[in-house]
Amino acid sequence: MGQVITLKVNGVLREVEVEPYELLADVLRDKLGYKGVKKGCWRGECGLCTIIMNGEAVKSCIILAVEADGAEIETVEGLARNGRLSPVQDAYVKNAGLQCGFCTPGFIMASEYIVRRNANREITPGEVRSALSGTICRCTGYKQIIDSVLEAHRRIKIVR
Amino acid sequence: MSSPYTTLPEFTYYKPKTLEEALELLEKYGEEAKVLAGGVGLINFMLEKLMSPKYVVDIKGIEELRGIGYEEGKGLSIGAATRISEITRWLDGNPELKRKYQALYEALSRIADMQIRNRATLAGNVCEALPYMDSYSPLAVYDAEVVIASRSGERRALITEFVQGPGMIDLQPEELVVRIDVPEPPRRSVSGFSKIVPAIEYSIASVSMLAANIEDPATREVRIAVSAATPVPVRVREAEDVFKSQGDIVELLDKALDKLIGEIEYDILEDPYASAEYRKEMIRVQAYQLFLRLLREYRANWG
Ligand SMILES: Cc1cc2nc3c(=O)[nH]c(=O)nc-3n(C[C@H](O)[C@H](O)[C@H](O)COP(=O)(O)OP(=O)(O)OC[C@H]3O[C@@H](n4cnc5c(N)ncnc54)[C@H](O)[C@@H]3O)c2cc1C
Ligand code: FES
Ligand code: FES
Repeated sequence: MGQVITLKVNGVLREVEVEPYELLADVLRDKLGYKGVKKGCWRGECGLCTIIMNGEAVKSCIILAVEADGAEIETVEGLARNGRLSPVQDAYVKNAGLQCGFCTPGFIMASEYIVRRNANREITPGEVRSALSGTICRCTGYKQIIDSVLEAHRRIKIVR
Repeated sequence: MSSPYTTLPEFTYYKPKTLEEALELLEKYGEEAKVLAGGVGLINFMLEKLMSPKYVVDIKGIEELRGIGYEEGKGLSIGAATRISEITRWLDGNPELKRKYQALYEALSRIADMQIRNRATLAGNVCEALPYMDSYSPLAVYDAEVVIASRSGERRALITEFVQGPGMIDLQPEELVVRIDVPEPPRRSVSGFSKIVPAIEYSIASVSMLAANIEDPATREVRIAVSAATPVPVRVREAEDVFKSQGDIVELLDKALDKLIGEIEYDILEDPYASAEYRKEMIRVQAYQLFLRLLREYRANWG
């Protein structure tokens, strides 16, 4: 019993036929081609499938595709504008916030959300650490990741 | 398809727009239906084939189950489709209420992680009914009530009675939790939450406490709720009554904890994550630390 759902992914309207038992992460990756949505654990723990859906950072491996009908979705593919990295992406590059890179799209989306939500206030390293507690990296040891988020946050605040 | 493509057991998905419609579906399909709120728990259970409902009823489209209300003297009322992060943000915007419901705020802010709190609901946490659910001890400390609806009407159950055991709640297949009511705490009160999370994500012992009118034994009220260390959240009235006596308050705490632990001793959980002995000790240690913190906060706020 397929159902056609409509998603707005990175500003583009996409229609796709899905079954109720398909997960949003799979549909984004394999049916719509957003390979930046990684899957590490399939069970809501690692955060690698993090997307921003209707303005909220969520883990797309524990959401049914049908639940997302009508939603606005942002993935890592939508962040760069005209070939220029977003402030968060750029800060990750400058601070070496990645090594193998497998976790990076998930971290970038979670970080993007943290920076946006706190655009009008200061944030502490401790707050960044606890906001990223559901996103797992096996390489960096996190320090460079926290530094990247703090730098992106500083830059965004100055721009405003 | 290049990456492993996960599939859940097959089911039919419904997203009713009204409570009436949802209750009709639950009545019609009974045991074959499952309610979907945030899905954080349900989808995981379905992935692990622990649950395979034929019908899934998504309640997020039901407007009347959304949002938070507060009435002075009556307390908070939290709709079943309200996400955990919506509740903490709402309390952030109401500092007075955040102070009144401090234990609840602290517990909710520490459930799982940012992304999961953006999806999971308080009612879903309550209905999941695993011993370590972080909402249990604060809800027990405020005497919260679960409000349950079915086609034949509405009923209420105290949180400590609603949760009956691991995975077991006082809910029939045709019933739906519509909201959680958290009564007004006593005047001049402070409250807080504490949990111990070792190398797993889940608490092995949680304590919530509330203290009011500390300086006057006649009107003093101290409430202690324990969860995660026990199969269900518990309050022990005889232990709380100890605080109605005269005497040094820390000595009273000592006596109260002896009574509390004496009462629940044989229910304390034992598993590879923590022995019963360790859990018992962690209830005591956390209760002490939390109580000393609440004494300081009480003096600062009301002293
Ligand atoms: C990685 C991870 C970490 C976690 N860490 C924590 C933690 O630290 N602390 C903690 O407490 N929890 C933790 N959890 C559990 C999580 O908080 C719960 O799964 C979540 O709160 C459930 O809420 P939900 O809205 O997603 O419920 P759902 O998954 O939608 O539902 C859960 C269950 O309740 C039933 N249900 C839901 N709403 C209703 C209703 N209104 N009426 C009747 N039945 C209903 C469903 O049918 C289902 O059986 C974690 C989960 C994951 C995946
Ligand atoms: S793949 Fe979604 S949280 Fe790990
Ligand atoms: S950079 Fe390799 S897992 Fe994070």
